[in-house]
Amino acid sequence: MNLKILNKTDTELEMEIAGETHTILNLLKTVLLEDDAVEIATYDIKHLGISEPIMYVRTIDKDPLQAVRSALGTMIAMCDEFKSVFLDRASV
Amino acid sequence: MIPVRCFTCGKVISGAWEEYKKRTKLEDPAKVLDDLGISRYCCRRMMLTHVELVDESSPYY
Amino acid sequence: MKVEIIELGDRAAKFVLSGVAPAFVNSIRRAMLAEVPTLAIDYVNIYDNTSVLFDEQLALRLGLIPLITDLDSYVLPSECSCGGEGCSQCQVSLTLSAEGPKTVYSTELVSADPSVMPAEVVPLIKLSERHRISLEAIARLGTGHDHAKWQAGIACGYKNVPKITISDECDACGMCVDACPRGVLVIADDVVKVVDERACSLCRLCEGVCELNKIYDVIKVGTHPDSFIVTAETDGSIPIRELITRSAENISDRAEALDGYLSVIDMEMEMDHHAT
Repeated sequence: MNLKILNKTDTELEMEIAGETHTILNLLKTVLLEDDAVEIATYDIKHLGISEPIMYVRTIDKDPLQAVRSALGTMIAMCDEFKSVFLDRASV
Repeated sequence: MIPVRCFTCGKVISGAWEEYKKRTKLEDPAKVLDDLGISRYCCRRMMLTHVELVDESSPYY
Repeated sequence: MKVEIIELGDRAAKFVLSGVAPAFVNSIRRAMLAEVPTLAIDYVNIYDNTSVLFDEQLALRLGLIPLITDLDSYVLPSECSCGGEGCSQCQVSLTLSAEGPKTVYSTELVSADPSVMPAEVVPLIKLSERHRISLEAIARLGTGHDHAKWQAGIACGYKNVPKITISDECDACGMCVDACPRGVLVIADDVVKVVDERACSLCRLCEGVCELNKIYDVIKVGTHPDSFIVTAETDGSIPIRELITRSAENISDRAEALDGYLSVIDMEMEMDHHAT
């Protein structure tokens, strides 16, 4: 993975996340949009296979970087919860 | 030779080919495929439509 | 988040996952198919091949053999300390030599690491008189992104849990029962009952054949938006439990890596802020 910040202001963040795919970005986008302070959260992969995804986040009264970081934290918690719930059920 | 995996889903199906070929001489292919655990239609067509050609060409190699 | 297991074997699993967003289930599905690495033969030195198959066809067949993979003892060549040159941490060598007449099976491959073995008996090639093959194959870790031979998950998918509602206006004519290809509906005590809701394929044939549906909403096929029936299968290289847990780990590892980059940027910005 390789990260490039293309644009960053107090309420906007545009970054290129090289090496990532829909696998985490779609989930990240969905989780971001559940945050009331996030106005826009979207990403685009211009051409499959040759271009890197570009993510765009716009917030109201919140540092977009912090919004993304807390969304990532939620994602990690979701995965951990799924893993423990699954293993718990699977061992019965 | 029978393809190693199903083209569509990727299940390894080639291991079932020899038994399938032997048993379908007498039995109904649908039952044999169920027995061999080939349940999806993508994998079933791999067996049903395969034509074995190695024996035809091997005398010329 | 809730998990209810319907089936769980060595290779195949089916479970209901509820209380999650579709995006999460899709991430898990994508991770199982394309992100969880497995070993597969990636490079073949062919010393002798007088069989009916061309070298490249033979190499393709070798590549597609599922190999039992212990993911704790191998690393991806791109992440290996050898820099991808190839060492015992990131690759295994397997040799095969055979002479006809006979059918050569994947089980005849001799592996340098005894824990790495073909997970299935695959007929590789049928040799007749005078046919010989002799080769050395190098197996490496890889992901389904790059080639289907590295795909640990097979036919991994999910669907919403169906919800069939039948209203009181139903006259139990039985048309829907006959139309349903999965036998989801039955008539009992002059009313249409749902016997196996999860078997429903959401084809909505029952809605179409119901005459009363033209006037009222008698039979309706809907879904629970946050519950999913997940089916997953592996090719035998890793057990299904491991595939499912590793797919979740893979997503959280990626999220953590991205968070790591962002924390660095965060700190730099903080420092800039203080500087000005």
